[in-house]
Amino acid sequence: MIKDIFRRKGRSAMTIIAIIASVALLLSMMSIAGGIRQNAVRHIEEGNVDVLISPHGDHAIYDAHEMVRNISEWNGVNGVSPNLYMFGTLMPVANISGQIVPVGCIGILPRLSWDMMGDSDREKYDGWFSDTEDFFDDPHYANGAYSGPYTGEIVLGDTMMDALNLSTGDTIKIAGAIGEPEREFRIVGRYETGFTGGGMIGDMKIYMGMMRLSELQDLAAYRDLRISDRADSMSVSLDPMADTKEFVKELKDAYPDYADGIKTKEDMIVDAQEYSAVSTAFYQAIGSVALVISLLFVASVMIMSVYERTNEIGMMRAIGISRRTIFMGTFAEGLLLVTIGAILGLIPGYFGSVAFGNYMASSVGINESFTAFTPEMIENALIEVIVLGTLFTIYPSWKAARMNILDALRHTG
Amino acid sequence: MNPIRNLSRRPGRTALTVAGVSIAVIMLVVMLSISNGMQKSSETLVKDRGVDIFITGEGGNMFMGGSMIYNGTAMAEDIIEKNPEIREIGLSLEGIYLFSAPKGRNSTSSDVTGTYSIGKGDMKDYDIIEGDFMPHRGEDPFRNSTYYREWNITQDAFDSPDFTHECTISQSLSEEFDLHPGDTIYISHSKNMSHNLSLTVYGVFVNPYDSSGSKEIDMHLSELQFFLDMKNDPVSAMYVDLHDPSKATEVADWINENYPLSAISQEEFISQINKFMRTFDSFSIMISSITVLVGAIFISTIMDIAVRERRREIAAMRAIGISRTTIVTDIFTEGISLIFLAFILGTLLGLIIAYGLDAWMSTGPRRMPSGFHLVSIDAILIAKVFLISMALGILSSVIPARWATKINISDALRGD
Amino acid sequence: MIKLENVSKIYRMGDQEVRALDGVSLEIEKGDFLSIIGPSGSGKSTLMHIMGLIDIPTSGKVILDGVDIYAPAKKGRKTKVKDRYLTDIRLRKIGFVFQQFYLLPTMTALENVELPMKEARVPKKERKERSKKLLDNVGLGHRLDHFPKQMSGGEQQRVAIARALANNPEILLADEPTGEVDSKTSERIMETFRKLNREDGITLVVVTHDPSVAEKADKILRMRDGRIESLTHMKAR
Repeated sequence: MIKDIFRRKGRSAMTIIAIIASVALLLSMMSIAGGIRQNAVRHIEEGNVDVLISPHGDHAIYDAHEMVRNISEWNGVNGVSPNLYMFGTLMPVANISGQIVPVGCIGILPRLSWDMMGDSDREKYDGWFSDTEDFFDDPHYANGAYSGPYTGEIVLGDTMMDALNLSTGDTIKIAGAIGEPEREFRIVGRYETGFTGGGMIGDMKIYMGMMRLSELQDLAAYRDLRISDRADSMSVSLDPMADTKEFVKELKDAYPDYADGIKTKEDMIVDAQEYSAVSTAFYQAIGSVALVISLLFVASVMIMSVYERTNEIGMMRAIGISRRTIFMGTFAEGLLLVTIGAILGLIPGYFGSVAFGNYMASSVGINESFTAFTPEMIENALIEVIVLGTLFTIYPSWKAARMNILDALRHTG
Repeated sequence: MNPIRNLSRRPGRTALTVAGVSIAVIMLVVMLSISNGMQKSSETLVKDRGVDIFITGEGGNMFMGGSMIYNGTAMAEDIIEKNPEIREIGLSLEGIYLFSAPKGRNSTSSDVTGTYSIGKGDMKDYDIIEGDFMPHRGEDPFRNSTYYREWNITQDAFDSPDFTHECTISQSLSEEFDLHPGDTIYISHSKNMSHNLSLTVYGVFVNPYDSSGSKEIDMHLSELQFFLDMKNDPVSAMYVDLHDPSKATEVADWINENYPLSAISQEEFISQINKFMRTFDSFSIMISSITVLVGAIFISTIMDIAVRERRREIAAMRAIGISRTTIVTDIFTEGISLIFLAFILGTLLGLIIAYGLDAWMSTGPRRMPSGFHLVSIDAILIAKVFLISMALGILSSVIPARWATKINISDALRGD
Repeated sequence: MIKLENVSKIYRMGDQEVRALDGVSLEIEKGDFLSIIGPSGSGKSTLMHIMGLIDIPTSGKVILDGVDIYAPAKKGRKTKVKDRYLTDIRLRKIGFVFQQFYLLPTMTALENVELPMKEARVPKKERKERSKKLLDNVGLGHRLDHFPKQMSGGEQQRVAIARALANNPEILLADEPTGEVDSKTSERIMETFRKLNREDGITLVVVTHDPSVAEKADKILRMRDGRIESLTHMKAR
């Protein structure tokens, strides 16, 4: 009965085309979903951060420098790195030849921050802060008094440097806010923000820079920051041999105020996956809709073919061919069509995934790839197609098998 | 030749085809309504406020939260004096995170905003659901006090005898602490609530732009500035109301030219938002197109087969004198009826699903802002879906109809 | 009324030529009751198709009521105008009855009979009345609202006959009308034909392979291999 597929070329071709289109769509959608999940998780996995202290809401971390010194002396701790984020209303502003530009700034302790970075992240930096003698690598903070020398060093993001024609070595002025006193900063490096400068993000002109923690605290127009030595989060990396649970317990005991904001790497991965779970389901669902329609199509066509072959089937049953054979024959026919369509759909599916993924990335304005065309994904898609395909072809096959012989033979028309 | 009854000849096949195509219609309806909804919502949310021009510090934009404007009041007064088109300017200091709590409770992080307005217009505040606005709403009396003008800080707590201590709080904050009009709430820089300032709650409001139930406190601008020891009259945003909204772009340009500010008209703002929406739009168009394409393949093939099955019958009709026109008309009618059924079914189900999605997105922890509707359905949308469906019906009938006219009567009757 | 002059019909089957009709000339006069008989492949159906204007001769003339139907037409090509013209003639002047009945399954007996009248734009009231009458005449006045699948072969054929008469045709062409019915019904059908011919003056041409059916006509045309073998006049009854 497989050769019946060739009997009606046009019809079979149409069903196969429909399946190809739906499978290609399904693959593209699954690829994007996978890409989103992958990106979310990859950053976390590749980093060296084992524990992240990030208090909920806008509770911040206070006495950051001291906390760094404290924790870094504990057993099993490889590194501690604080971060202060000045974005939003209280962003510092840069004055570049009269042009006022807000700059989202991140305050770090450079040496500690560098130690914490994974290789792939380090590659994003072209140039870095100069080494200093003091423990925190933050001279202005020396002795906890914000009185030490200002280094005025800053590493800027690539989009900002490109948009404003800046190069490493240039000097720019930055103030905590318009109207506040400006300070000079020298650009000591450039880093890949991962923004392309286009898309949605490009339109929002997100310019970013990194400087020393105390210098940002000083600069910031918010009075409280310097007084309380504030940071927004702290990353900790542990020895491979260290017991993460122990460490977390110790941390919660020592800093009960931040207890609800402590996350391990695993926690973060789970969070990321959960967050993307909804969008994953969404993409897969819409990708499957077209598939369902195609399979309904296949079922209809099969029903029609079976009807057309009523006499033929009646004759076969009359000469002794079993119901089972007829069932399997029809079933195989339907499944073959579906399988051919699915396999042929892999190629446009691949191109579709790449195209959709690139489109998403460029319209958001990020350098990430949203395409995740993995063997696993192909496997999942094919399984879905074959399982659903089987379901939809069972009914017509059953109809064929259960025909009454006499009626079938007598059937006209 | 009764095309409608022809459909009931093979009820199973008709049902399957209608089912398949209606799924495509459902997809189309849902996608279009979400796209519509997102656009309309953002537009409505912006328009509802009645703000004609949005202003932030130079170089900033409404999405990133622009930079601070210093000497905000002076600048605003200058603006309103020099440009008679303007009837009100609302000033606000936003993005200030402090801790708040009623007496004896653990503090929670809160978003505190200071407000002041110059002039009189009809910009809308958030809806008050309990109590009332601050008695001196918009007036900011403390700025006229000598304490403010001379920046005379009397105590550690940056309190001052001339403070009104008025505030309104958001619904989430009210729920968290079970606070109601008449109660007192304290704000502080630190979690332990040291050096705190007391405020009297006059009303509870709902912020339609907020999705996660953030805890907000609105108070008078000068009192907040004083508490923060921010001397230079900083303001993070200005909202302008004009006599004639159509002049918004003109006035915004004028402001940009004459002041170190970044002003955009409501229209411009909306179009920036829509630009962001367009990604989703093109996405959904691509997806719906492919789904509709598959539906199209489905129905054309079925129509084709259905007509070919009736070859002899058609030939017989031609033989007894039924014209080709009649036969073609019947085939088209059949195709269109099929699609029409799918349209009705698909649209109904699509509407149910779309509204269901909207309802689902409006509840739960990750819900959308209350002023936001995921889905928006209007006559134009239904018309679009209808037109696409009809086009599909017509297109899918073309080839079978053409084929039917070419039937050789004699051959067909002979049984070839 | 119908005159065929030297009509031939040649088919191409791959690279083989099949002469379904070979130089047939024939004249049928108003009021004739003619049966055409012959073995399969003799060309009788082809002849009927050509007479009924549903097939075009490869060569030769078909003259209906003095009009040379295919005069301006080239070899085998129908112009659009021609087709509409032909269709119209079929609608109003010719009635067809087929071996397989070809009633529309989704229509009742009444609606089937109404169909050609609807096409001819006969007003509703008149159409309905006339259809009822026609069905009555063939003895199916009680089956007006029944669908074909609810009727026996004989009944369906009778409906087909009523339908063929819908627009008062001058000539009725029947292709193996008794092929799918039992002998009793066969008798009845031929009786009906007789009646139509005698009383209503309808010209009748019946194609059959059954001699007993053929004998019921006034003239018998015998065909073989695409040619007329003989034309016999039966004794008047």
